[in-house]
Amino acid sequence: MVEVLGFDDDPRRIIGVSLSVGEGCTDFVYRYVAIPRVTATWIDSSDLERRGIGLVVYAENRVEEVLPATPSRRAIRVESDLADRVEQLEERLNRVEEALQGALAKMEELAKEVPREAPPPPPQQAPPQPTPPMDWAIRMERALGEVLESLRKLSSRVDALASAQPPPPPTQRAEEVKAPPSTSDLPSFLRDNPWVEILSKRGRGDER
Amino acid sequence: MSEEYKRKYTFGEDYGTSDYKYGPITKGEVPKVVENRGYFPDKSALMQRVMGEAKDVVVGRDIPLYLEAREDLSTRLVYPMRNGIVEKDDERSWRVVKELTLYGLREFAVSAYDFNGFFVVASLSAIAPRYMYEKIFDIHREIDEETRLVRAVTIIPQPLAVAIAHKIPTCVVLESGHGNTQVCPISRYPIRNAIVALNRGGSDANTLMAEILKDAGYGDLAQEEALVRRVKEAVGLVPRDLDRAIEVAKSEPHRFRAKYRVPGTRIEIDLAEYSWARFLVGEYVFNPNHEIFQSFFVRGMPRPRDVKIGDVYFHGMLDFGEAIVSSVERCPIELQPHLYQHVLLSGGNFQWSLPPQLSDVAVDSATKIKMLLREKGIENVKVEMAKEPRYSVWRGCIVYGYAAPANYEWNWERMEGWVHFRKK
Repeated sequence: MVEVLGFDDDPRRIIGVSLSVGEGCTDFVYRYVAIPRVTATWIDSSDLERRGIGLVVYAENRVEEVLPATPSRRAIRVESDLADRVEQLEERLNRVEEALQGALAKMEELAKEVPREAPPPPPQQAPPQPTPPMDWAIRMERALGEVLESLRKLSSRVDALASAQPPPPPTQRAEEVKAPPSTSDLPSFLRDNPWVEILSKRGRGDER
Repeated sequence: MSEEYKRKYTFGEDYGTSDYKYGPITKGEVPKVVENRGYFPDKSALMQRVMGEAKDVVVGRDIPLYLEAREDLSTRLVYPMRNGIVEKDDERSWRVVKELTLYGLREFAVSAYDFNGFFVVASLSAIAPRYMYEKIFDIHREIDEETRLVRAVTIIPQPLAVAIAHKIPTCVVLESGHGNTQVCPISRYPIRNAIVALNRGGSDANTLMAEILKDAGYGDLAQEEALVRRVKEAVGLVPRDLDRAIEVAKSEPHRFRAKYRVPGTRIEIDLAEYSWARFLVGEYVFNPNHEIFQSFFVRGMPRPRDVKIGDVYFHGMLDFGEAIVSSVERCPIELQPHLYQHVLLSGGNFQWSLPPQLSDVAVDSATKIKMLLREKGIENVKVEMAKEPRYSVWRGCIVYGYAAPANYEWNWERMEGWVHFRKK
């Protein structure tokens, strides 16, 4: 919503319009007033601040945000909803990953069971044939392909949502945090370390 | 709180006597290292005012930028853990510990949207009294209130961390640092009742090295502790048998001649006819009871004394072999043979050079320990040096944080578990 005022407008009108920006409107994220630097001296910025309205001042070629606006409740709610959705999607992603791992394990088992070259069936014993294990494996492979495809889609949606998240507060000299370590990425002192199992049982009351 | 989160945000802290090693699991094999010290600048000094913000205490890599007159260093530069223990009321030392902890955590502050504080595993000397545990918990709690960087914290003894990093569940860890030595048997847990502490560490060997330098005509250089330590590390040797080593060294002075040139200077130290004394330094660390050391004690060199700090009794003159036996014999008999199967040596006080041409009379630390145990009738012992001992405690902390369940609550009887500062 934009309202344009002229330079020669009555100062009282400019102040009135500035303080009532976005009034009655619920579908906004931020409200700003942009006025020339000379006009800005008429406005008490604390009145704007109380109303959550931001102030942008311009003069010749310079534009400056002198008072940041407060996001609307709706915007805050949207951000919070977004975070919830990301969390839900992450959970779903985890479940799909688990299912995928299970399917892969089953595939491997199956591959071991299937003979490399099955002997041809005798010609006279034609009907009714049970589904050979190889067919089942092919169907599984197709299903796996579909799961992988949906996993990729889900993953890209999560990435898109995560990138739409508001930036986190700045931290002092923050170092980049890498992705969580998967088993293969673990440092050498963690790999095949019997203490991992010993320590993971702490607190169960079955040791010591 | 999921295990996955805890594994992603595990943070290790090793409060060593000389260095503070710290960093999250994502650091990989090697942590960050800064000296475990803090500097209290003169806030009224002109330079401090010129530099703007006058800090109460400076830690980390910025310390050299703040150092002032050399004579002030002894009072303004504080090494809080020099002996592994910080006195309860030593406010300056605790201030340094807090500042260092904050420094390390801030360096790795995470901006990821799911970050809600680290699971911190701190490591202290095995003989640290209970008040030190309480103080470390308080420090982390205060830091979390200020920064939200610590979600939960736990503390483990350094020898346990060493055993974890070396993947050995049952062993004896001998940790010898600057000020003291700890013998700690471990069988899935540290056996706290069997810990033996010695009031002897690298600093005592430095004291003896300074006396040897005085005898060799370098009394002026003997005042500089850092230099004495470097000479000790360069020329000190561990004898297979002290009497025999001295005899051979005296008969072949050229082969055993100890010379050291201080890097970047014109100073060269030559022990010349005193070069046989290089064996004294190594022997003194492992066993100070040889009669030859009496002459140094008589001349005023302080003898390592038996002392009691808090509830812990520190032996002064116990040799390392006797200390191991005495510790193991406090454990159940069935366990004892398993403990002797793995004796793990850790700490800078076991880092001795062994020139191949002198191996007829000099040995490494592991061999020396085996020999001392053999004298006590203990055979078939496996002794090994910790690999990369500088980092092993931090690595043990990371494994502990990675594996110990997040819902394993701290218990003062077990001295294990997590202290949670907040649930969300």
